[in-house]
Amino acid sequence: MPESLDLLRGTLDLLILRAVSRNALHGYGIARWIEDTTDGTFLVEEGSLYPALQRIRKKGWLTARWGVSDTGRRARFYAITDAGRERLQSELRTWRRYNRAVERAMTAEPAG
Amino acid sequence: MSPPRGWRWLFRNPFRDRAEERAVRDEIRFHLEELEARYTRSGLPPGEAHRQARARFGDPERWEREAAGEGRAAARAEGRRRTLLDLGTDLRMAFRQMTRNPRFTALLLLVMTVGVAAGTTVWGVVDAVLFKPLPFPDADRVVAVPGGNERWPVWFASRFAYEAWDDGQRSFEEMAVVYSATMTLLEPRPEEIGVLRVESRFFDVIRTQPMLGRAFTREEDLPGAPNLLILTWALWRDRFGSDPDILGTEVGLRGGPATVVGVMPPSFSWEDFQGDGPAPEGAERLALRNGIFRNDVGELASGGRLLPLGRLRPGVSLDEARADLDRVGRAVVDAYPEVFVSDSGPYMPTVRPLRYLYTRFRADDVKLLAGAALLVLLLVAVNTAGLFATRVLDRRTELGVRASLGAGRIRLARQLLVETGVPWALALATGLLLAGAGLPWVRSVVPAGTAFVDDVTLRPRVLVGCLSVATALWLLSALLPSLAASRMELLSAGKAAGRGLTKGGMRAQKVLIVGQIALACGLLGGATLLLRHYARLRGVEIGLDPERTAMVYLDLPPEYREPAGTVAEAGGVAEYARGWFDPHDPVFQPGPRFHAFVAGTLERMEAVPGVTAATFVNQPPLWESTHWRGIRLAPPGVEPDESYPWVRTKWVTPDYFETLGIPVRRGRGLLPTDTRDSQRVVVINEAVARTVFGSEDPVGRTLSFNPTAYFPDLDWTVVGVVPPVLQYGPHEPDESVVYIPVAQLPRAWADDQIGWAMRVSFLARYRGSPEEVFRGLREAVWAGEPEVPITKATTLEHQRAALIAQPRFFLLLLGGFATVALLLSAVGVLATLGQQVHQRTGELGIRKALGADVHELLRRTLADGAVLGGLGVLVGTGLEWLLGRGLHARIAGAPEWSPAVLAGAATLLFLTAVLAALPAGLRASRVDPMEALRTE
Repeated sequence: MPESLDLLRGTLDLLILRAVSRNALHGYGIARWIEDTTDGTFLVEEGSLYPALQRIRKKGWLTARWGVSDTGRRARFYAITDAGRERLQSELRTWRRYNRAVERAMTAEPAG
Repeated sequence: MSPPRGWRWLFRNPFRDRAEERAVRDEIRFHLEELEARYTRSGLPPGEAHRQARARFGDPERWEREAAGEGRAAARAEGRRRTLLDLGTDLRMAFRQMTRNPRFTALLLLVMTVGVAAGTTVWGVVDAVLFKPLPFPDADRVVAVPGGNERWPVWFASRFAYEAWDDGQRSFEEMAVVYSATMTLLEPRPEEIGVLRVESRFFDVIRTQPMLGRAFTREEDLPGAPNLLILTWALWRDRFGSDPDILGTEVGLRGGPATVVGVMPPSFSWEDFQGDGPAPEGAERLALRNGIFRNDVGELASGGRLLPLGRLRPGVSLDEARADLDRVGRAVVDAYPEVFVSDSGPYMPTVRPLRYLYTRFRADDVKLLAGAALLVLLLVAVNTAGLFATRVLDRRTELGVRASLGAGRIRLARQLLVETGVPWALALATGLLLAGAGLPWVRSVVPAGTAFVDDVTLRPRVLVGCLSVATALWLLSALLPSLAASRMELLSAGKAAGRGLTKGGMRAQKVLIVGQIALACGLLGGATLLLRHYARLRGVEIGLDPERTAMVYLDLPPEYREPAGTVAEAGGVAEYARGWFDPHDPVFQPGPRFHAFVAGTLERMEAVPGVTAATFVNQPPLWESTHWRGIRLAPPGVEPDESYPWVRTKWVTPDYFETLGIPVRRGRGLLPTDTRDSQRVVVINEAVARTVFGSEDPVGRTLSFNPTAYFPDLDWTVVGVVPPVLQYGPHEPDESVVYIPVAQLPRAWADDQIGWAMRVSFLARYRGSPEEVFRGLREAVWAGEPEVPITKATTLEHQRAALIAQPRFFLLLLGGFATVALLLSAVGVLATLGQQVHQRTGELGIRKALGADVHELLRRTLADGAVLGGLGVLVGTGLEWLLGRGLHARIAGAPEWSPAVLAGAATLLFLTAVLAALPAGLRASRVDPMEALRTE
């Protein structure tokens, strides 16, 4: 198992919104997407997804609906709302700015 | 938007919470099983796969617990958001519905607005008349205790009776007697004001003390005490500029000055209908809001017009007080049967709520009106429900599709609530505005003499009442379409697109329409009956020409009469006077001074500029008064019994008939040559001629009055016959009246000459401004007798208006209701039949394609309208008959029913129904077969 990083506060929300930004996914699907795209860097325990999903849903960025999984089983699918999409965009912008700033700082010559 | 904190529990839904917990558990289990399956697929043995999945997921119970907590909150938030979203959609839909069919919407809004406005207005009146507290403390414990009995209710009692009742009663902690009249205030300028002559105990009964100064004392009740005054607050403010030093000053009154000892607080007013009869403009209500209290009621030793009041002891109910007074009254009757028993029964104390004095409306009348208004509101609700239901049926395809797409019953019901709610809210707003604007008009049609009319406003209680009624109507009008819609859910969407509507639904709709037509028919018939009654009262049959005729009514002082023994010596009192007098009361006859005063005043009046003729009568016509029975009348030598009529006796000057425009139908009128020394003559009215002489010609025959000892047993020769003249409010064509020349009044003629003041009136025809004429007429009276108070000065026109005010009020309201009802039933028929045609479009198209006659289709629809109308009219006629009986019982003289009216209302309603079916019929005949089949 690769070494995991502690999730930065709010990053998990961002990942989840991103995961469902094209198609509605169930919790297991979201976990797989995060694992695949981050090479298992995050998500120590996949169970932590579920309180996060509900928290985001409470904010109105996700809606939940029952559907049928690829394996033909009943599963709860999460879809992004318009408000969620806006949130994702703004979080992404913030994230990118933060990322660029840290990246620049990390590649710059240290003072001295 | 989240609900306020205290209301959150309303939105908490245990079922939803439980479902959310289950959902979280299920999805976590799904996750674990999928993980495990994945590990298994990658080659791990089952036990290891299970362990690995657990490790990857973490503690399922912990995550489940945390997720469920968040999940419940999320589900709640989602529910709220969805409700709001749905509400927005529903509102948009509602507005779209309204704009899509503007004609329908206009009709609907009209119906609703009228309903709301009518309901609010009537509720405003009911609220003011029935529920407004009287203006003194614990007023509901104060009652009036006039005498009388069921057949003969009066609003007065004699002092003799009052004192006997007060001695025996155990129900009241205090009783007091009052007498109301008017009086001329000489300062700062001469003016008629109201006066309530009271005992000192009055202030204890009403539990109100003067704001300035003091009340009267017991010693001041006694005859011979100094003349004292207590001012009402309004009079003190308006006439004396709120002078703080008013106490102790002497104020000039016609009849002698009096000293002011107090000023009542502004909150206090006393309403009374002051003697008998309607007041001239404003004077009556002026009486005691803007008047004075005098301490001289004790001088009115006996006779007539005292009104006893009592304050109930704590814990004593109205019924207990009635039983107690019954006991006392019976004892008094047993002790003095010759005074207290008459043809109409024993004269007993009656206990009546004081509110009547203030409102003049019987609670029953107000309830009748409120009932009629409620009926109309119900009609509005039913109609609105019907209209909404039709529209829902029109849209059954849309609703069916929505239902099959998973919109729940509750969701659809909510949509309908919003769709009906939006028009209701609009109607409520416009209806309230309308009611507010209409209130001045309402105040003007409420019969004069109804207190609190100025208080008919949209006070908060009225608004709340109206709001709750509107809400109830809204729910009611949403209920039926909801039922229709929920039934529709059971139909598949495909079937719903077809002919759909169940037979039951159709029948219910038709029953509603028939009910509406019936109600409208009933109301219309009632209104027509009243209209006829009103028209009759307005002029045709009042029996005289009231135009430009002034009337001055006054009480002559005691000096105008001469003593003629006592009641006991006279052998008892006339039937009508029983209960009003003490056997020791003196009996009087008019003296020479009286005749001189009458002749002199008439002469002075005719000299007043503008006056063309003046005449005298003891009691004026068009005068609502206590039913005033006279004496029985019979041919000479016949002992009068029940079969002979009571007569009202009027003593008049010879020109009375000519001046008032009363035609003499047979024989002659009275002449100046009918004097004390010539043959005694009378003119009778047609009722007397009919009951006493039957078909024979009465002219030249003789009559005698019931010979009680103080009615001299004399013969009178009939010289003429006149038609009936309206005497008091309820039209009584059968009332018997005998006109006697005032010059021939016999010794001890006792009509109202026994114990109380001599009431006389002068009538004058005039030209020009009534103000100046009235000033002149007053001066003409005062030139002969400077001290005399003029009780009332008014015009016969005004009297007539006052007499017909109540039927007019009923007429306006009922007529308004009937119009609304007619409109509503037309709308109902229109909508229902239109809807049916719409539903049968396919069928009609096929028929047409198969060659059905266009006229046949039109005829069929019209026949449908006729059947609905016919059934409605049938039921309505019964209703009309009932309503007519109710009106007849309330408004004496109102016709009970009439075949012409029944037929008229029925025809109108029937025609309305058929006409309302016409548009639908035309639509049916114009159905295009191709179009129709396409919609199939």
